[in-house]
Amino acid sequence: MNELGFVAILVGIAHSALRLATPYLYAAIGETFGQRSGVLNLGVEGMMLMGAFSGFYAVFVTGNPWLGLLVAALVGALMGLAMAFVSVTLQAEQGISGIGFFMFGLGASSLLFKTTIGSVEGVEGFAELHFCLPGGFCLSDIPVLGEIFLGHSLLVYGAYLMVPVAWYVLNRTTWGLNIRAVGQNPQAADTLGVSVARVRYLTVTFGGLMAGIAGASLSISLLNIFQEGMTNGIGFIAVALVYFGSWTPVGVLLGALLFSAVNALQLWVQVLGLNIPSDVAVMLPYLLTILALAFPFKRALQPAALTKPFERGEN
Amino acid sequence: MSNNVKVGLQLSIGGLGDKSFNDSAFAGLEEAQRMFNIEFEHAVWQSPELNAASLENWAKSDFDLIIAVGYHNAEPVNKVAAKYPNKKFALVDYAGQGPNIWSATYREYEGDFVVGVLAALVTQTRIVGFMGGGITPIVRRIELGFAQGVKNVDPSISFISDYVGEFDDPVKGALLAETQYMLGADVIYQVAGRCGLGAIDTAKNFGKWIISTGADHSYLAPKAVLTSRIKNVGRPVIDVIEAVIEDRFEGGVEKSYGFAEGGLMLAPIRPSVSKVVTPPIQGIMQEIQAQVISRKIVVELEE
Repeated sequence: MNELGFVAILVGIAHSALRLATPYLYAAIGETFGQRSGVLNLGVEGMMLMGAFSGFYAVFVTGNPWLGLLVAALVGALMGLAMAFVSVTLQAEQGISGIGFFMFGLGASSLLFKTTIGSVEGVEGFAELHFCLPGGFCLSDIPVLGEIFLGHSLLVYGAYLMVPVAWYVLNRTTWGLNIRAVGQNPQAADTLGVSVARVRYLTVTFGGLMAGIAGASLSISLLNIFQEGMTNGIGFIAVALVYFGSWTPVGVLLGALLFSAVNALQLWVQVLGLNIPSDVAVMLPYLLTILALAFPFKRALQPAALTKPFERGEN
Repeated sequence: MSNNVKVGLQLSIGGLGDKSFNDSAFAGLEEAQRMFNIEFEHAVWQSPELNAASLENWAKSDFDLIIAVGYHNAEPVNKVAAKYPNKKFALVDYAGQGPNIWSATYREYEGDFVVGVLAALVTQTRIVGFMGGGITPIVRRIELGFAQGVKNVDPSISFISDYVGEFDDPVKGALLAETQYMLGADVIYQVAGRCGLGAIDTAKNFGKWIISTGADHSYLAPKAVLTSRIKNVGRPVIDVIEAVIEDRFEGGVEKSYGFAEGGLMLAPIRPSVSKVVTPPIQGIMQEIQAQVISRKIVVELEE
């Protein structure tokens, strides 16, 4: 297929990457809030699966994608709340309890799917927006820019909208200041009258909500199906992206785009018949994750209290 | 002729409700019950070890025939059958090894050839895509059959073929399909399990066509799914039960199922795609299918 131009290939990769970054973005931005306040939630994958299933089920029954989104967000938030209870109130070891939430989400979403739907079904989720004019011309057909940036669903654009919103909240609001303070020095924040527990409850619940939406972005927007274990590690990679992005929304955005671009590139490498064994191509994204995490991230930016439960009167 | 033959059926990965392999096998079992008034039990997929335990439980008690479906049950069946040489076993979709195992295998490539013809007849961009899941010998064989069907119509049609590398990730399937469609393919044949479900959604979004496997997937995207090539797993299940009832069960035998034996079929062409798969094209497909059955056309499996 070498007659296909270089530009067309780049456009193809960019279009795919932009779409594919969606679930990573929702999940990783939610996780950023939790980690900035000092809580590592490793259960994102499980929360995504619950969100993916519940959102899908709601759309399957009612046909309304917005209701599906709402249900997925609520279910995710509930799991986030439970995670907050376990890690803030019960002060459990976060790495371990997160894995528990992952296993729960994986098992529960599979079980619920089997008992309610149980077979391959599709739904009409969020449609792709092509912005067509009455003459039949669609803005998404505009060469390069239109082809890359248009023709995605609302949930895709929503994910990118979350980046500046998250940046603003974290850096320009009292809420953001409190979150950062709680993650950096909970004792000092407590002395200043900020409730460490309340902040952490909120951020972790919000992280769950975003994970639920991340799952729904797969099941009612990108794929419009639900399958057991369909997130295939996206939730875990989202946690890694927070480290990669040095706990900033913009860093997370870059990481998500890089990761999804390599994922898309990997398939193009295969399709174009470049001389790379397909097993190696399949490994590329994961190798990249390991390398990216091994080298560049700035540990200095890590919230000092990350994974450390807070107890008043310590020190 | 006894009418209370007892049959055990071990299902494969995916379980009941897959609208595919397992459901087809189970439907065969239920049909056999209606036809011959048999008694049966079934076991869902757990793991090769636990499946072997289920098979062994049946072998130990008074079951007359123990059937397992799917390649993944080959090991357990071979093992348990060797331990109980006086019991009758059947393995569907893979050749078992043992004098008391009757095996059914499929000539999928007959169906793959016919859908290859279909793809070549409908493509307007003259680029046809093949999307495999894992890189396994069976999928390779399917690809060869499909590619031959395409070339049989017009050797100058471009054929692109890619493998996701696995069967379980719908996201990767969607991405790969997207890639092939962007490269100019307007019809893809997907043999990629759950990855293929993602590809079907992509076909719908792109307004392109897809040919599916495993089950009739037309309901997922009525305008995108042209047809599906389906294995009838129930057919050999009924056949082997009938053989046991009529006391002509033969172990160590491998029976091959294609169109002629009722082991393969193509999902009906729906009105939603009849403007693409026009009646003349449907006629050609039927003719090709007839020629494959009568061996006027021989699908070559060697590259």
